[in-house]
Amino acid sequence: MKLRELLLAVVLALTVAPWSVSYAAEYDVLELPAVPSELASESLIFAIKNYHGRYFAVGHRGHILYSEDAETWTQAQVPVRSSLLDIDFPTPEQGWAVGHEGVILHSSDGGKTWAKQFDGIRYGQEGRALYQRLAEENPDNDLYPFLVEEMDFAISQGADKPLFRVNFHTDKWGHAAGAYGMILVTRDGGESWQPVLHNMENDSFYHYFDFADLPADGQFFLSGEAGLFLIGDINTESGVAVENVPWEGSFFTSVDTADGAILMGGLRGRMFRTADLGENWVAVEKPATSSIVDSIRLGDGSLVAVGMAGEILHSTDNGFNFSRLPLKSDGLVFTVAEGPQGSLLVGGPNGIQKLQLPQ
Amino acid sequence: MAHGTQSDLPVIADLHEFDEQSGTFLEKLVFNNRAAVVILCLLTTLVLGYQATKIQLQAGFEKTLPKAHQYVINYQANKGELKGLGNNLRIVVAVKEGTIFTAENLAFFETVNDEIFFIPGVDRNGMKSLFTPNTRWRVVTEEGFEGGPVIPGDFDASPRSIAEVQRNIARAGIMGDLVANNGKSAAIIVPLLDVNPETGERLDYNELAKKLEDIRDQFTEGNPDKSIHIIGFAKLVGDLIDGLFAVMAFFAVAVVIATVLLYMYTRCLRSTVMVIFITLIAVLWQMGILATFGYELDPFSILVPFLVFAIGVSHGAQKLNGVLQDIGRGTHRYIAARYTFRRLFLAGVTALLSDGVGFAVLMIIQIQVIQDLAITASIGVLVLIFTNLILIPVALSYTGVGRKCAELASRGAKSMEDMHWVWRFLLAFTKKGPAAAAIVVSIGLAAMGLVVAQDLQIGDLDPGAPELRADSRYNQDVAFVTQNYSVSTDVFAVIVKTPPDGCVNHQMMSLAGELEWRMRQVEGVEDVRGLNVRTRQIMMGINEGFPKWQSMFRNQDTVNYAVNELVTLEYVDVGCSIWPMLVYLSDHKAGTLERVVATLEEFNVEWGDNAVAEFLGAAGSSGFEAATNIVVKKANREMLFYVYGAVILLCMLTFRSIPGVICAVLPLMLTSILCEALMVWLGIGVKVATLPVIALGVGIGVDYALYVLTVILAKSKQGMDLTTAYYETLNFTGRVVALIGITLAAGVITWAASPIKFQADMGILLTFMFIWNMFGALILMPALAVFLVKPTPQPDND
Repeated sequence: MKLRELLLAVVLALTVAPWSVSYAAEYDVLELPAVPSELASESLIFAIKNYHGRYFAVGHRGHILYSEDAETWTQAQVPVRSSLLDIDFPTPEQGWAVGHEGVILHSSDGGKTWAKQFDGIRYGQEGRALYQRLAEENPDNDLYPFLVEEMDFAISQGADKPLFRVNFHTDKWGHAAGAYGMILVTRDGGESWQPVLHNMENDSFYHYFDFADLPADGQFFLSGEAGLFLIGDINTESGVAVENVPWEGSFFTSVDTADGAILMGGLRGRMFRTADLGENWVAVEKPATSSIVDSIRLGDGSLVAVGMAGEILHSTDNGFNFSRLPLKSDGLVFTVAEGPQGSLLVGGPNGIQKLQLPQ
Repeated sequence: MAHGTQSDLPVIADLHEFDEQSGTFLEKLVFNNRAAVVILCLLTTLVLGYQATKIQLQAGFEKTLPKAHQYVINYQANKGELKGLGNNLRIVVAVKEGTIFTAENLAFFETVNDEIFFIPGVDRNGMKSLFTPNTRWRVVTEEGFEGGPVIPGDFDASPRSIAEVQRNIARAGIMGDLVANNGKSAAIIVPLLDVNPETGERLDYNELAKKLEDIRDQFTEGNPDKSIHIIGFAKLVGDLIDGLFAVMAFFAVAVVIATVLLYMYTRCLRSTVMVIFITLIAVLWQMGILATFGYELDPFSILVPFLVFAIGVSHGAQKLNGVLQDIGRGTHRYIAARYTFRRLFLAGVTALLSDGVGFAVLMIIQIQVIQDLAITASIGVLVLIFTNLILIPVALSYTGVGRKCAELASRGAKSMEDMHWVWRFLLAFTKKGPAAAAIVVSIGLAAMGLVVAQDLQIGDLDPGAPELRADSRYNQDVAFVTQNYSVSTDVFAVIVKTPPDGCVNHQMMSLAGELEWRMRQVEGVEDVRGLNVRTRQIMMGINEGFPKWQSMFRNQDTVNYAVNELVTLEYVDVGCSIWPMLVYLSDHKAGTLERVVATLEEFNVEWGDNAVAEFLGAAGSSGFEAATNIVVKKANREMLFYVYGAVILLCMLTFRSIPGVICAVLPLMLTSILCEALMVWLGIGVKVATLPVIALGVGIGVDYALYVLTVILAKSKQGMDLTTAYYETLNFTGRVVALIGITLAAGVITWAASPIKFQADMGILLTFMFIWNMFGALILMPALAVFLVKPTPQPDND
């Protein structure tokens, strides 16, 4: 009797077991490569950039496109299917792209092929380890334990934070910044990325939407959610909040003007200008528009800012006044770049469009 | 089948010389009690005639679906939660001069809007237009969201106020949906309630369609600047029912044509009227039986009265022919009727049964309208056995026929040389030369037909509602809407089903995003909408509308918040477990549908094995069309297989000769091939409506072979050479075959003028098959017999 029951159990276990541990595939954009698609240049594009005479566009589903003439686009080989939000090429060969799920990608062949350097899972784990160590080394500092908690929270959330911007100062040294105060630095070309939250005056962990080096040596600035505006020192990797920002809405984009001023644009089409790193501000004269989501300085020194609903604004006086250009885009506009021969490249839900600037 | 010849029964002029106990049991039963038969039929007519008044006209939607296909099963299992799909009307109010944004035009629009609001059956809470309170705009500000109704509470039709409305429309993102892209029209989305909650009554599509037409007339008559365009399933059904009334008028035309033909053939008014009258009684009985068993007449089964009438007239003509010839020879009318019954009853039953086989084969197709058609047609054929095979001879036994036409009929042709040139031409095909020529030409035609038929398409090919003609009012309205709005009427809805409350699952959203992206790549897909697309957009919206947030990022709280907003907008059911992914197509051609189906299947092979969601095919007009195409494509071959199998079996039983079977079946096959070629030329695809045509064409087509070939075979068994045998056949039944072919064709050709497109297609194809099968039986069949049938050698025949 006993033997029979045992045999029965064994037979049952053997027949049922393979089914009971039925393996269900997990759809994880960090593990799935981007798929080549003819629609890549005609579907959601988040940023278009122009480096070393080559055009780059990044979009949803791990799309990275490059082009010599901004007409025909080639899709790069990308190991992730995340939405990619920004791209930077400090040299013609070395480039980085960042995006959702905290992903950082690297290319050393001018953008043809990419490899993953970092993601939001590692952000929590490595950030926690870093701040745990710093807390132990500096028992008097009460910021580090707070950041350990923050990283514990990041681990529990998973890779839910996007990196909005990547900015390399040299081919080894760069920053990546994004949502909920996430900011990382590398000095070894991305071999390792360290969180530098502890050096930034952003206690509320507001989102960083834009980031740029300033003309003055060793300075950079960060702008973001709820009027966030930091001036940073690149060598100490620390950022100081500017106190008298005139507005509490989000700054989505910023651009430096030919005369050294900074121009901020954001929610509800509001734009402000400061010529003295945030001491004094003026509101930019411009027509009412939707949220300003991107802004650039053209080769001739004039400025272009775009509203999400497709308004394209132009300033020829270093950003004191903007007027609307008679250009019509197809659908919403998320990004703008200077194109070849007096053209603008705009990107959005309907892909990349080339618009000719009026003479 | 025992066909006698004209001369094997004695001519008896005096009734007393006739032995009433001669003939079969059935003949004695009928004719020795003929008064009882007439009274019984009269009573039946009264009862069924009363029942027939209750017959309903209906154009059901679900009855046209292939109910055994997995897509339809999936839809039926989930349709309670998928109510947003299908039963909406889109009513567009357009102006020709200027735009809708003037005080006068907006007021006009509001008046129409209010009028529609009060139509019974309209789901008033769900109605959506510029003037309904649920149409709102919303923008993101530093404080959060700001918004309001598109038509503000203080709207006063001033230019300033109208400018504000236009701004709100832009902010609400309803251009191309509720307002035309060119600003010249605005739309009202009208969801309908299948059951009126106040009265508990089912929605009466016919009445609703009438009410809509009234509103259209009321507002646009004498108002050339304005037009109203109405599309949606309920309107389509209304138009189909209108079409049914038009088709019923064609029945009168078919009756007139058949009467004229029969009179031309018999030259006897009395008997012509009687045959037509009794055949109409057969139709009446059939209607009565249908109404009794609760069947409705739909655009498909309305074919049946036409067919029953045509088949009935042709069989009536046969009986009449027999009686005419006997009376012409001097036989008493009672005895002539009995002789005819004796000679032709079995042949008639066999022919009707073969028609029945053609209908019965349709039962294998799992689409209810076709099965209903099969059942109703079978009932019709059964009725004909009583009316036209029994009642007509009995009636003729009372009335007899006109003396003059009887003499005319019995004269016939005395020799081959006396025959009309048509018959002499046909006789030529019993000689080797012309027969070979006919066969070579047929092989050529078959080869050509096979080449052309390679391009035979499955499904519907024209834009708009395929049920109606391209230039119908409805399809013009569809064209107007697709031109001016960013919506397509061809929707393939993937049913996404999750465990309860699973509609917020991030993994499910990611998989949906993958499927959405695959669908977008498919040639012919214009747009994909649904819960995951809107969720992604709202995830951006609640993050200050910053574009870089427009991604299905892994933050469950954000997904929960976004989906919560969408439940109230009916993107997903209240149980948070079923939602449709709407794939909008540029057309409903078979190729487009096949690509969409293949994409869904590939996706499910790769990702179907997951614990979070099932991605099921499919609802929406295109989902059903895709399923129908799959079923129809399979059924098309299957049905040919069964119908030919049945016909070959029937021919085997009748002829008991393999060459006979070949002679009978090859001409039918030629017709089937040429019918497919004709469909290619006319741009008609294989669809629900054309499937029955092929079965009916073959099933009824074999009648001719039964009538002609049995006689030829019998004669050649007696040792006649083929020419003589065919001559005798033509004299006896050949002319009737010609009459049958023409009356059958006359019965259905009127359909070519039907406002319902697929009925017109059916009419054209059936006419072609009836006529071409007739030629096949009269030309190709004897030509084949030249080479296949050898007369039995008789010792010293001369």
